[in-house]
Amino acid sequence: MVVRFENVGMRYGNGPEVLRDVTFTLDPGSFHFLTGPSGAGKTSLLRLMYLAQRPSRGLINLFGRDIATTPRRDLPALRRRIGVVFQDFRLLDHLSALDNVALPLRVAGVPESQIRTHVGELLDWVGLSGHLGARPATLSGGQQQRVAIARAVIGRPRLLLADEPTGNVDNAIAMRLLYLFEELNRMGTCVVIATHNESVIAKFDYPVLRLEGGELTVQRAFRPAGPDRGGERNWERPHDRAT
Amino acid sequence: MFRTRRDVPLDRDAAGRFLPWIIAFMVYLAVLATAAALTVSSLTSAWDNEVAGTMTVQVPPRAARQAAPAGAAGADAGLQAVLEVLRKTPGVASAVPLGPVDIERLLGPWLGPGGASADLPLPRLVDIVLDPSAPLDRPGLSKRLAEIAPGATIEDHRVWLRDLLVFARSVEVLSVAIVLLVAAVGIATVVYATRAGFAIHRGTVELLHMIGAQDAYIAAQFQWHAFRLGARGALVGITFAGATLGLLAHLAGQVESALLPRMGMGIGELLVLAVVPIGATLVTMYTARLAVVRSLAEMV
Ligand SMILES: Nc1ncnc2c1ncn2[C@@H]1O[C@H](COP(=O)(O)OP(=O)(O)O)[C@@H](O)[C@H]1O
Ligand SMILES: [Mg+2]
Repeated sequence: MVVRFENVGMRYGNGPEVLRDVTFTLDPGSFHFLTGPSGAGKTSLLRLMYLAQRPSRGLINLFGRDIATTPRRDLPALRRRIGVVFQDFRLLDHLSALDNVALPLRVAGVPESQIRTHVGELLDWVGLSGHLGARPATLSGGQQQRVAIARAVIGRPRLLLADEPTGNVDNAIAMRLLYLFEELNRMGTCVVIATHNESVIAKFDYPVLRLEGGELTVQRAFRPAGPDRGGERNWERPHDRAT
Repeated sequence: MFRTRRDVPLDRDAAGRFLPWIIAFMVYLAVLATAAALTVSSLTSAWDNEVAGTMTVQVPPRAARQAAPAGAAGADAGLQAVLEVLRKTPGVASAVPLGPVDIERLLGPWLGPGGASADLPLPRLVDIVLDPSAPLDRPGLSKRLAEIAPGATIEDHRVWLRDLLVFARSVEVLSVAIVLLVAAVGIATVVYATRAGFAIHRGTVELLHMIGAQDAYIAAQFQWHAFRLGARGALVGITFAGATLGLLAHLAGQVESALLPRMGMGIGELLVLAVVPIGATLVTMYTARLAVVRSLAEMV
């Protein structure tokens, strides 16, 4: 189990609870959409998962560790297993695309000799091999997003969280991005895609975490047709069992 | 030498422009205050060495000329009797009367050449060197001198030296107070500047956090940035302070006075002064580190 939430509630300061009694489990190698109307708490839920926020109540377990009892100095190690694609990308403006993508490795103390080839290959994979030295400001929105995705996956995370990755791109590019995430998922990464775009969700056959008024319901993936994909847990791919 | 990762773009902050100057000014003040304390303490110890173990006995002119009760003859009978008593007193190593030449030298500046002639009714002075191994019974000596030479007084140089020492001690205390005050203001400024820098780069710091950076990784960037700023400021400060001290030493060298013996600094004193900019740089660095670590601890 990668993530487990039990009766988690969260509020900002003294405000109302934006998440209430949220309970769910993410298994290794699973792929989930997280959806709900704007303001439903999708970003807040992701923030809890990537440890930018503490819950005001309830239990969060990441990679088998209860984060409430995990000492602060152990949190970076947990965070290194999580890749995040922020809605606003959060690239560092003064660093090149290569340095931005290399950041998680440098932070983790990976030797510089390994970093260059690694990062070069990955930027090639997302189609940015011609822009290694480019500053984010000189890249298009789509290119910046791919840099952000490359940074999120460079450390081979076990959990990938993407906040509205299809928000500002047209449908063709949105589909390409999702195929990219599927490819990562096939390599064993547990993926959560937050999106309010139901038409994107409908094109795939993955379970959906649905937030409404701060409460979460889990909707199993379910596609009526297809001989090999029937039943409750049809979203589970063969490789899921292998991991 | 200090190549650290610079993921946090601190180099462009306003603090980089004002902090070195503030540190330079503080190092300047602290070096001058320290130099003042060192100079005063070396002066007082020089005075103390000269004056310790000496006294002066002053015999009024009439008592000096009077015939001694024991019937000794001569113009200076009273003075001779005083000398005799002094030389027999335990604790006195030697007692030498000041001759006309010494008197002339002492009073010449006020009375003009030849002004201190023999017919002026001047008191006679006796230089006494004390024997440090034997204690001197001062009240007893005063009593006996009063019997043979009414009006004779003993002047302990330590009395006026004591006032001087009080003054010197005040200068030292004041200097230390200035250094401490400057350090406190400096630390407060560095804390403020670091906090401001942290606030400016909070987004970057949060990002580094979320991709798994340890607090130490982030703190190191602020710490070495502060080190560079501190070292730059300290260098400027010590340069200006050195120039100022050099100028003062030059001016002191032109004053012909016995009160200003050896104003020059020894190696030891220069080393103490060198501690000021080095200390300021290190304090800047560790203050920044502590400020950042505390701010980081408040984050999730
Ligand atoms: N930093 C914040 N401080 C206070 N309230 C916030 C903050 N971020 C989000 N909220 C509130 O929490 C609720 C959920 O927001 P969010 O998680 O961003 O939803 P979504 O991502 O689904 O649009 C909203 O009502 C929003 O106003
Ligand atoms: Mg959101």
